[in-house]
Amino acid sequence: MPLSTTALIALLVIISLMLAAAVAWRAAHMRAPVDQVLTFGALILLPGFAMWASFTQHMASSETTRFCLSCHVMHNYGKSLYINDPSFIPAKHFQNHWVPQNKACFTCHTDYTMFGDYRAKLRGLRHVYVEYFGKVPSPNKIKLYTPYNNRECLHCHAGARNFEEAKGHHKKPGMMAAIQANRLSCLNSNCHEFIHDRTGIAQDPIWKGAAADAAANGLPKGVWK
Amino acid sequence: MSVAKSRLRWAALLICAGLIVFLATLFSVHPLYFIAYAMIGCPLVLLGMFFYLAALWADRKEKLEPESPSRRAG
Ligand code: HEC
Ligand code: HEC
Repeated sequence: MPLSTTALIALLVIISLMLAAAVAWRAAHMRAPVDQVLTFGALILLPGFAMWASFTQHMASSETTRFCLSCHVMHNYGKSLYINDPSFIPAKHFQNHWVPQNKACFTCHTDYTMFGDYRAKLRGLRHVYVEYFGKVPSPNKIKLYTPYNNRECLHCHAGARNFEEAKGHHKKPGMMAAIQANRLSCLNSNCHEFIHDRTGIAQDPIWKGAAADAAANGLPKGVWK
Repeated sequence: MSVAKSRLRWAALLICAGLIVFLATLFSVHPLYFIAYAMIGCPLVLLGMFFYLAALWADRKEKLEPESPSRRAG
């Protein structure tokens, strides 16, 4: 969210706070029903509005790459955006701005936590718990709960000429239909199998512009090292 | 203070506390701050709203059956 919107929300919260404080201060002198209009505004309408507005703010910030990378366990995924090898799909998309840099993870993982069903939300809460208070699993144990859905790639590529006409997508009859129906994964070996390289990331070459790019995107230190 | 007014004060104080949590977490892009917003800020504000409704309720009752000032003094 642009900073000005955030500032506006902050202003709303501050005004609401001042009014609620005034009610607390003057509670003994409040008289119904005259003051009921004031108290209703100060204790129901404005705080309700402030709660909703801050919620939208939190939703917006949770879509950011920076948010996803604030957990240490995700740092290697951040690093994988900077692999200096174009066969790695997230790296190539991120470095060329084919996915918005400030929302990279969310663009390819649209069903994570708050954006998924209620089970995904509960899992997200558990992930935060595990990150800070639990035992973080080793990198090669981390995987998606359900196989990656082609839908995530297709919401950009479906219908695009270079996607529809690509020779590789017509190697066998019915191949395109199978891709679109998610029966044939885009990530099959010999197709687009190089993704985050979670086990080999330590050895991967890193793009030399990584440090500057990560800093420009406000990504946490340690992501590109 | 009457029951209604003391509930009103509690309502306002709880809401203030919740709003302070909103303010403190608003500018941070971090899961822990979101959790603080959702698990501390929101419940405080909602509880405050509940107290406010309880204050209105008590106020209505006090008007229907006014109590002697001696019992309610202070
Ligand atoms: C270009 C799309 C794309 C982007 C951008 C992307 N991912 Fe992924 N991600 C994938 C795909 C595809 C898989 C599935 C890999 C597999 O199943 O082998 C995946 C898998 C994962 C997994 C499961 C573990 C694994 O390696 O299979 C995690 C965790 C993950 N991504 C986190 C992230 C984070 C964090 C970001 C942002 C820093 C991110 N992803 C950005 C496409 C993407
Ligand atoms: C946010 C939109 C978006 C998403 C999501 C997305 N891509 Fe792309 N992708 C692009 C754009 C834009 C290009 C560059 C233009 C082009 O080649 O079509 C591109 C290019 C590509 C290319 C060609 C790369 C090259 O070297 O020319 C491949 C292969 C590819 N994407 C695979 C994938 C796969 C696999 C996924 C799912 C994991 C995916 N994309 C998800 C937008 C996206």
